[in-house]
Amino acid sequence: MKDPCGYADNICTINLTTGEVIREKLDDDLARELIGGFGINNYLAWERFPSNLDPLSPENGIILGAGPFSGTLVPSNSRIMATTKFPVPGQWASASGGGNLAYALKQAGYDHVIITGKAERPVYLRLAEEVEILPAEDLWGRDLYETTEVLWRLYSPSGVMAIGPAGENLVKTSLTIVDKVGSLGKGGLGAVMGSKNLKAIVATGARSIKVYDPTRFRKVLEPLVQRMREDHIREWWTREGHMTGWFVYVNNRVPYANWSKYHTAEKLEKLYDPDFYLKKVKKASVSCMGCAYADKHKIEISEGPYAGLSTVISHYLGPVLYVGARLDIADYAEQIKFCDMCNRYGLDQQAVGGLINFAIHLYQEGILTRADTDGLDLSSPKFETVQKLIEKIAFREGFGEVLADGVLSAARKIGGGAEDYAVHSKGLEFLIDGRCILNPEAFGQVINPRGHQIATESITMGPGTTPEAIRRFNQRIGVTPQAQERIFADGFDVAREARYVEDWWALASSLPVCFIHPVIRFFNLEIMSELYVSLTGIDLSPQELIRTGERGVNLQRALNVREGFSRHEDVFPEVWFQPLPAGDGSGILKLMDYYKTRELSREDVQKLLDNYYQERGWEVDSGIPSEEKLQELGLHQVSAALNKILTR
Amino acid sequence: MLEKILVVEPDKCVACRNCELACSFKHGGEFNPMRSRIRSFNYPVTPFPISITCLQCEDAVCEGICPTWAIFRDLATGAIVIDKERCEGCEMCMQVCPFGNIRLDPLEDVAIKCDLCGGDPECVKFCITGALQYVEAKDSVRFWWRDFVEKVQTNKENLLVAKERL
Repeated sequence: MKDPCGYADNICTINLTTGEVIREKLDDDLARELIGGFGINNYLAWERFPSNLDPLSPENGIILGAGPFSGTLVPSNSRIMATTKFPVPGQWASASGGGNLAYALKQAGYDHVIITGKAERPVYLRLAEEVEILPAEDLWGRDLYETTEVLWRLYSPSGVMAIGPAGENLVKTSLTIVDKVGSLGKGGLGAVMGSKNLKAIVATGARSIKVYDPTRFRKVLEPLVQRMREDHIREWWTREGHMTGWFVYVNNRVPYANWSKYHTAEKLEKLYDPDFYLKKVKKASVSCMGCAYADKHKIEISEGPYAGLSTVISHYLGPVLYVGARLDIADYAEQIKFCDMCNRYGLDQQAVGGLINFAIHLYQEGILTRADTDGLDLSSPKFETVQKLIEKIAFREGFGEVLADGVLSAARKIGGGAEDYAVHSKGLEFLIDGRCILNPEAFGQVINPRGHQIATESITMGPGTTPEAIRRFNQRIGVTPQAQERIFADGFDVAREARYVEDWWALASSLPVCFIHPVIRFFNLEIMSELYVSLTGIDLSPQELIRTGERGVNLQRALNVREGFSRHEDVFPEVWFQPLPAGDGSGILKLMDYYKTRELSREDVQKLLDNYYQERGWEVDSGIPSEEKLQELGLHQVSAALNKILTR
Repeated sequence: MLEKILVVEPDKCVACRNCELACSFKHGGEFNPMRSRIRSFNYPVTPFPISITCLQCEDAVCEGICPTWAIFRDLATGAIVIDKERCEGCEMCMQVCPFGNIRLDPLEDVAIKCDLCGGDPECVKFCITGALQYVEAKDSVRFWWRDFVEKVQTNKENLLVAKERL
């Protein structure tokens, strides 16, 4: 790269054991082939790390990646990608979060940062013109919000990614949060940082991001901004955030009692009425850097036992879905207290909500008794008991030690048939119930290395999107007419569709642009390509650009094939095959196709997997990227390495 | 009296900071909020999102204090502007500005401030929420602020937080 336009032109490797810092220039070809963020992160993981390492050992690495769009005027670009080998489920995967970190990283002058080794004592990392490994003994043990605030005060303006006590205690349901708002890394990124004695990462700087062709760049950007300004749902979205989808959720989307019952729409409407929340609880919207679709909320509780509690949440579907509805807690204040506790401890609220739900179910079934739960009565626990459980998980105390590593590990530790009650996808909570809707997003939970990720979410999020609308969307993301025919050959094939949405996500995660639907719907492949070319001066056609997304997904899969994963791990959750009475009394919910025209059997869903692998050009029997596909994508070394492992 | 003024409608702003990026892009062809003439604040610094830039004072103290006569009023737009060539970077104007709306360009070491982009403010064009507006000065915008202040005052906790943090 002659002039590092768009990019900071710097990959930095930091070894916490030795304190050694190595800076390299970003290779021009690498940028051309994998763009940044998700793509290059996966390449670095493949190139720099051996297979079969222990996720919590010093050998594991945390790869942070911004992208060329980070810190520019492209709307909603502040997404940081963190790639590591996750403790749960033990696969390489990429987590993504908002806040200011991606932008601050670019300003500090880095595209990608690789952190390896283990510090002798607790430290935090300061990424500025120089990299500093600074002592964090006084931060160790403090909660995540406090840590963030201390570092904000020391370095301003900055982006801060921190862990809480759960990460320090290597709890595998821990995560990290950027600037108190952008959570990322369910499945134990917090524990990976904790295992390195790394309390936090701060990025701060004042570097400029250069533009290759400002006139052309501005020419694409101005109409895009104009369209966003005229967007009729923007204000609604900023006010209510993800709750704008509430009307979809109330209809059979909110299970409780460990996925065995559905709330009725009337009950949900009564308990979790958005109006009450907006009037009484929400105080302000908080946006990530560069995003006008602010969907994080600052909330305060003014009355009751938790009066004075002030916190930030990524969206209030969180308290409602993962906590309130799931554990049948009616009080908003208690739900928010739950989320606040999880955030401060650096725990994944989805996982903790699920775990506690699971424990209650086992207790009610008689598999767990008072003797197992440190004397806590879980038959219908009060909120104080729930709070105690969260604490126990964060500090691995007593019964918390059993639950700390996620639902699958807990079930195995408990035994006595508990595994039959564990509802999970690769050991992690899944979010979309295939019985309610089998869209590409629901299907995506099966193939993604970390269960549910936004990666396959698109316009098919709600029920009944017309084939015409899906076709139009597919056109925008570069699906060929032949592929369109395959997708719609027999109804709507969510598996084949998932492949293309995933590529689109991988591209959006490499550039990066936020993948929440209200934002990403403004983009299409042509706009992405125009923006990328005019920003960086690297000439890539729209087709070549979407190819980089496909390359990233194949690399991620290859990484996990190297770890020994294959089709065997892509399992549909067992509960999906158990019919369940609908909450609205509309009959029995069964696993059906997207348009609810026919029921799907176990064989049918295996066929879906076949279709997905086929559409990807992977081996259908094993779910492993085929040699032809890897060669076609130019991943020759990857192909050779896989051939060696698989002796093919 | 200015004919047109740059205003922010507080209820619409979400502090996405695109105005800062647009400003630095217009004036330097690159993205760097440190070189922006407008600044955007939000949680945790302020209790509500807001953008702040030069108010183009009628009786501008910065204009009077500049020892090199680099600061003067652009008669076409009514904006107070700084002649980069004459500025010595002594920071006197930064010290006297009652609102802190002049800053030092970290690369060129000269004072920079909003010049209304010659009557076509770039930040307004890239404000997605439509909070930033360039309007006729005679169209009073005080009612926005009156409603807004009332809203803040009804929530005293917020006000206390604001005082504490600012």
